Amino acid sequence: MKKTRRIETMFEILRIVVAMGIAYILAMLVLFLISEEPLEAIRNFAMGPLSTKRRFSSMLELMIPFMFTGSCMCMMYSANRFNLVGEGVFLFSGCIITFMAFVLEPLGLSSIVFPAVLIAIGALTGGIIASVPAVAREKLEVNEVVVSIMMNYALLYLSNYVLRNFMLDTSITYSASFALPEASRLAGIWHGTRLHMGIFVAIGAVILSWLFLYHTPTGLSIRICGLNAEFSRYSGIHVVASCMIAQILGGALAGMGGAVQILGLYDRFQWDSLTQYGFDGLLVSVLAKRNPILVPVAAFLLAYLRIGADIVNYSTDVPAEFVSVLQAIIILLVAAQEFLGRYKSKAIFNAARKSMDKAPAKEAN
Amino acid sequence: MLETYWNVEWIGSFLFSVIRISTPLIFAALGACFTKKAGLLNMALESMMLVGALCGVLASAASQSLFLGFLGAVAGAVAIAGIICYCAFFLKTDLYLTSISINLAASGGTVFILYLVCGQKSTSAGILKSLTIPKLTIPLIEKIPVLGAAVSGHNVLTYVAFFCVFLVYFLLKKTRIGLRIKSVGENPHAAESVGISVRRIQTISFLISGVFCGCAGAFMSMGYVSWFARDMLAGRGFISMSATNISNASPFLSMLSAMMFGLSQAIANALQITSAPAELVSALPYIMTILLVMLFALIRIGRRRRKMAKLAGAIQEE
Repeated sequence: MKKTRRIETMFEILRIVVAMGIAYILAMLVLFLISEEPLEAIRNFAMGPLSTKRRFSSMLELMIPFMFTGSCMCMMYSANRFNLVGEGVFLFSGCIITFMAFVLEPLGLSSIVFPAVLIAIGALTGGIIASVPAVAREKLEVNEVVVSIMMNYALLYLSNYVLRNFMLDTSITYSASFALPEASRLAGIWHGTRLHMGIFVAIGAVILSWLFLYHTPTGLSIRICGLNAEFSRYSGIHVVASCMIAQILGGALAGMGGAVQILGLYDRFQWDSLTQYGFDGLLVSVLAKRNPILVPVAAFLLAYLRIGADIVNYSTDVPAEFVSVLQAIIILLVAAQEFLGRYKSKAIFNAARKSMDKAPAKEAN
Repeated sequence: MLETYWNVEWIGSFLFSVIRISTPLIFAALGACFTKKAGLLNMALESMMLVGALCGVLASAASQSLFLGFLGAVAGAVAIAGIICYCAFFLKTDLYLTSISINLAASGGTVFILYLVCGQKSTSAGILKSLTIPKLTIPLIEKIPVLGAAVSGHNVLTYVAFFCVFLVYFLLKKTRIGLRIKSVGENPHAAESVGISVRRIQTISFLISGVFCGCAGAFMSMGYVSWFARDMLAGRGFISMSATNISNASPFLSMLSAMMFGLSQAIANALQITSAPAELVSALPYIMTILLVMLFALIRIGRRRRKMAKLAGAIQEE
């Protein structure tokens, strides 16, 4: 049994490595075919993210939202719910906390308490919003994907409305809110880069969601619901409550992410389209196999791919969007049970036969 | 204020826009009927339509032939359906996950191809000389006051969409493949036991759904507007899927609920020129979709509960 499990884990890892490898080779191929200076493009794609301090730090910056939305999707995906509202929540919570920053500014909170309060507000917003598709799914049996995707569009327009009507700064040339109060912003931690305190908040969130999912009874029942809803109902787990908790906490994580992103990187709220971080979270959670503790690794891989594509985008003639196709290939190959499945069965079979061959020998001794 | 709206011409043109906006939704909802009847949710309608729209523009611009352009749109959408089936049924990925990731790939991939062809990432307007599918005026009906303005002068594909409602009804009700699709959806094990390959039937249902999405995509980029723009579907695939779900995959009811969503979009468009805040008006169709889906779910649950109560009563009487 132990051997079988070891072979399975090995193949899980192998599958991720092979999937990333295939995607990477495909990326090289695409770059080679369409770029006029393919070697330059490939070098930029592979080595670019690590080449300078600024690029490396921007990769770490990009990991922050990925870690939040990745652990958000780990929560939802652990309960086998494809609640994609994280996308809209990320944007809308950024909008709400900017608004709240102006409301709370007269209180004169210190530069530690103020961001903490705002991040908490972001989490609360996220939890409340995510509960809508969750209730629709658990109580009304409405497909959560539909409701959450529709909500993403509604939240986008709602946030545009709040921005244009309540906090638009007309003294600047682009469409953005008033400047955020200085005390509300997250401090930078690496001189000469934009990397900010948010990365610690993100790591904290990842660790907390791992502890919750893998070391508490509620987390266990959430995961059992995700693996087999019928079984969990039969064994007396409250499926509705568990799945609701998973989705609301997931929403809260995405909300925190939106708040941290705004407070760490921007001096004004200026998002006028969906950020795509919520959908990236799905990729991160699939790569991390629904386990939050692996989220930082997955977030790093994705950020590496993204920054590489961005560098290719502005240094050569290849648009960065080719990465989105690669991402789909990675998701599909990692999630494919049959991919390398034949080799896995063969390995398990061989191991089993070997141990069977050994057993009679022991008896004879 | 009201007088500018409540006249015959305005009502005619409003109804016209309802029908026009509903066309892609009807096509996609009909496509979703097949997969729903086969027991699966097709969440990739969005990407099938998007790829169809792009392929239509590219094929018609390259060949300067309307027929080839339309064929290209359908082929693109069917190819996406094929990829999804290959992943979900042969590589055994989760169907939801497959659809969602294909949607993401399509929204980025179309922009990528658009950039390679046109050199810019937002639209193909003014760069690609793609064709549009002609409009059709109906001789006699055209003369009737409100009806003529609403029904005549639509794109050919709009009439095809309404014709397809009957076609889908016929396909599902009277043909061998339709009956097989339904039997697979109702009880896959029973179907398997009489020698129907569930996987094959489900693949076929996805491919048919791809054909309809191709038509919807062709309408979007070669009729509704005459260009391709990034993310031009804006959630229409999911709206169509909700329409099919609400109506329990009956083609006629799917058409009606698709038109209901078309109506809310048309109202939003009409409000756009009033003083109502534009952002909130734009959110209206999406909010309406959520509310309608929930309302119908409530009705369904209420009906089931009454049925159960009745059954319980009957058992007690015995």
